Amino acid sequence: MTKTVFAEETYTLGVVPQFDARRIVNIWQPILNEIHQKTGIRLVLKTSPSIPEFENQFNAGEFDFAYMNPYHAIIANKNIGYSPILRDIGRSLYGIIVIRKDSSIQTVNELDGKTIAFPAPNALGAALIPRSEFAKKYNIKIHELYVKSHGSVYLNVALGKAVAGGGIQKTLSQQPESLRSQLRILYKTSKVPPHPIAAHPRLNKILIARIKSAFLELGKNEKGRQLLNNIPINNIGESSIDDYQALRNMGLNEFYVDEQVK
Amino acid sequence: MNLHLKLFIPVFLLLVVVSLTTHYYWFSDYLAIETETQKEQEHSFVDFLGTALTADLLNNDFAKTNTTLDSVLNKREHWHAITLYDSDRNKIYPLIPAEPPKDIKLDTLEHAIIFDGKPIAHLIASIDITALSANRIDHINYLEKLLLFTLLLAAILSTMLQDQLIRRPLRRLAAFANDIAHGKYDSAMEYRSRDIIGNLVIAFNTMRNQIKQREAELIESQQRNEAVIENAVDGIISIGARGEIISFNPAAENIFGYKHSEVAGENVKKLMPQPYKREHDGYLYNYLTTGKKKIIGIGREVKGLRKDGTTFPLELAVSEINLADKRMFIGITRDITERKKIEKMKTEFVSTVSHELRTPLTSIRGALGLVLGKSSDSLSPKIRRMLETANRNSERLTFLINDILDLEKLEAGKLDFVLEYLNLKELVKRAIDDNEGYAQSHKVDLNMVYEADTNTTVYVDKQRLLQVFANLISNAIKYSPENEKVEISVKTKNGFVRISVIDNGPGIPDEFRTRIFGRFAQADSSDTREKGGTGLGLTITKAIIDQLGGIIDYHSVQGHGAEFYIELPMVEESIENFSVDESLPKVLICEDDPDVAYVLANLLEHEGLSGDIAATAENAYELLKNNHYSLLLLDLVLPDANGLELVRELRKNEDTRALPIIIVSGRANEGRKEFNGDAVTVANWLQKPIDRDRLSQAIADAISDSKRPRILHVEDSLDVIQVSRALLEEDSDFDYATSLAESKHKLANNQYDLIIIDVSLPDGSGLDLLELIDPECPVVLFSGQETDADIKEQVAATLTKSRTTNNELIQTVKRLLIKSKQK
Repeated sequence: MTKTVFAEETYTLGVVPQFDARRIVNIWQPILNEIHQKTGIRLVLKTSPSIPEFENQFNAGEFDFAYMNPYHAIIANKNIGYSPILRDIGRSLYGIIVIRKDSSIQTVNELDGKTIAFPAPNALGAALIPRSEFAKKYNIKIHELYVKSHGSVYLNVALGKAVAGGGIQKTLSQQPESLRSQLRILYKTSKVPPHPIAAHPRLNKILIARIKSAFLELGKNEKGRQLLNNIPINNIGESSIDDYQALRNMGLNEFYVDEQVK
Repeated sequence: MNLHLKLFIPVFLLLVVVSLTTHYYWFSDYLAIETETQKEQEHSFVDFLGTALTADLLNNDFAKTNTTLDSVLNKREHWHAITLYDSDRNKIYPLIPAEPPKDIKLDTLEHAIIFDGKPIAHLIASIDITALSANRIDHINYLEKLLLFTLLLAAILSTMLQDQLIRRPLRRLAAFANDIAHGKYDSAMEYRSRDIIGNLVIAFNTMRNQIKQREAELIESQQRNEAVIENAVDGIISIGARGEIISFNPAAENIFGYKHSEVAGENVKKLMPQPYKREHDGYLYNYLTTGKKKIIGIGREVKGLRKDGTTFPLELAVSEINLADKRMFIGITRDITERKKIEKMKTEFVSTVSHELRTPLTSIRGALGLVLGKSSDSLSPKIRRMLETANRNSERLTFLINDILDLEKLEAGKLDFVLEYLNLKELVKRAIDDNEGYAQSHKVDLNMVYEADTNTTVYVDKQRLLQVFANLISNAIKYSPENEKVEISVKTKNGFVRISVIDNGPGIPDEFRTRIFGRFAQADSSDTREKGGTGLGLTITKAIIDQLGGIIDYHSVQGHGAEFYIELPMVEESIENFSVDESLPKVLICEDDPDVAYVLANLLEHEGLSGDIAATAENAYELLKNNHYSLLLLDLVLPDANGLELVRELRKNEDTRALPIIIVSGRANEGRKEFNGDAVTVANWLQKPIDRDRLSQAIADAISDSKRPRILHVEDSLDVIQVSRALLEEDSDFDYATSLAESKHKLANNQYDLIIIDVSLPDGSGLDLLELIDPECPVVLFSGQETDADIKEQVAATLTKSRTTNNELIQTVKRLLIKSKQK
């Protein structure tokens, strides 16, 4: 009956452009189709050409829903009021510091004054969290060397261009054995929950609940899980801004480099 | 090698040449260029790669550089390794160096990556350039093989097509030609295309028809020839190069008594008696090796040997033929036993007639001539008339006998011809001169119209040709009315010379044309008596002209005279200083008045001498320098000198010091006085006008010595001796002998200056005496028979009784005596 009374409900979903746009569409469109089937709510995928543009968009409140990294979630919550509603509850996000296997360095403190490679300043696990911890927790100063990608970080370390490098477990395990065998992990950062799907504060609670239940529903059958795995969300569950409290406490904004300003 | 293969081979060779050229010449060149090009391409790729890596290197984005380089290595098949060093030569890529491949020669391309003027990295690529080209080379190899295969296929197809279009028709044509070659003329070949084979087929068909027709003709001709040979009256024998008999016709079988089968393959010697049998091989060998002919090409009388062993006279003519490169001889034989018998009888008869008739006639004529000449004044007119009648008739009889004998000899081919190259103009002049007297006696003028080249030469017997001219001219004179002219014209045309004798007489009736050259033919039988002549003149004339290779004919319109003409072939030989009688002793006449010179020359000829004329002293001097003269007749008044000066000049010269000189001049007496006491001698001084007898005497005195010559006349007829003695004893001591024995005796015991011999003597041939006579002593044969050419060569002169006038005898003797003395 509602279907006939109301015009079709349409909302937007933004996705952080950590992959290229086509891949993002391929991953998300089947999921959104499922959601539409289940709820009658049409979520329209809004892609962004770059991360800074994505940041501009969510800071302008353009998206009804958005899938973003934890740091973005804190910023978006703070600036607009987006609140996380769903996340992968099966794993957590942390950074790693790698050094050459034959390096004599044993502690983080020994990295003081050394050149350390990072993929980009704002990479959450690989750069933001380690930099924040180096400054606040270990109180050491380092020279940052931004080398565009995780692979480059590991190579710079292996080639001796940097004494250590920031990365994440997943990308390290993706490196070829020849490279991995030359490296060892010196340090793992504190863990934070992974990327949430956040909802704009202007949306009513019923709508959010319907969407939330539709996603959770997806996680209950094999086909839905498969689709969600691609995001990647292995084990979908409810989330709230509270999950990201520890991250907020890290004061990451001090270390965040506004690319747009740059 | 069959045609198929022959057609295929050129295409195949082309194929091989194209392939080898492509492969070994073009391809190796191409390979070098290709490798170089490839290298350059790779180099520019390395350059490009360096540029592509620059940004990532600056960003230390080694993951990206690695990805790029991995991808490059992945995608570029023959790049075996890429090594990237940083500016400090620390290796950036690869993390773990790959094992260099074995057995492959790698090209190393190095590139420095420059940014902002400074090297930021070095890129080294190890590339198998050869392998890179290999792909293309494989392609080319494949193309080569494909090309080769295609060409081969094309060659095979073309050969098959040629086989269909050319070889098959050719094979059929060959079979057709083979049929023709084996005489199967009914065979035929169909071929519709008008191409070269079509033309060939048409040509072959035409050829077949031609051959067929020719063969039929040949067979017919052969049958005809065989029939001719089989039925020939003469024996025809063909002989191979070794003398073996090949064919023997029925007539030959009859002649020799052998059957063909008995002689076939036998040597032709079997048909010859000795000595021909013995000599035959020599003849044949000689001919085959030297080409010298004894019988071949010449008819010859030989002896034949019959099967029964008897021999017989045989006329044999052998001709040589080359039949299909095989030398053969064809002998035509004729049994001439009968003919020989008749000939012998005839010869005996002629010989008898010659001797028995001529000898008495000579004495009759001689005696009558002497009586009428010397004692004419003392005869009564009546007796004189009778003697003249007798003389005239004896002359007619003489002519008749001479003509009959001449004709017999001519027709038997036994008259010897002494052929010489002679100047035609001189001959005609001589003929006219000879007949001048006869013309004058008939009051007819002889007129020569000479339109030919002065040097025109003919190859003839002088005496016989003069006889021909004499016949024609005397006939013309005879039939001309008084005070008319006889024209003797000479023209040349197409290598022939035509001599015409034209008269204004009554002409020749048309009905007489067929008989005119026959015996005893005169248009009017009464002519013989009225006009004289034997009626044999034109018959003899024609026979002589025939023998000389000329023709004789006439034009005549009755009532408007006649033109008799002869045509003789001209010859190239040019006779420069032609002299009618070269053998006469020569006298030089130096006289500026042509009339006087002519008279003197005439007189000299009468004395048996010939005269040259010089009109000036210089001319005379020249002639004397270059010729031998027996005497000089000299006028004292010459246009360019005094004759005496010339005499003195000549006496100084060794060659002319002894030359007898007779001065014949109007100033002879003055000259003699002027010369008196001079050392140089002059034989005689004669004052003009000239006295014939004194001149004759002076000449005789000057050139003969004072001693009277001794003459011996060998002659069995005392009547003839009586005449000759009367003629010769005035100037010589005359002796005679009437038999061979007496002659031998006289020759052994006496010295003679000249001997006259008759051949027929009661006890043998006068010719036997020749070997007893001193070769220096001149011999005159004076006989009733004509003398053979080989005997003529052994004697100084030959005279035939009844042909010789008294005068001729005297002149001959005088001439020979002068010549003999000068030796």
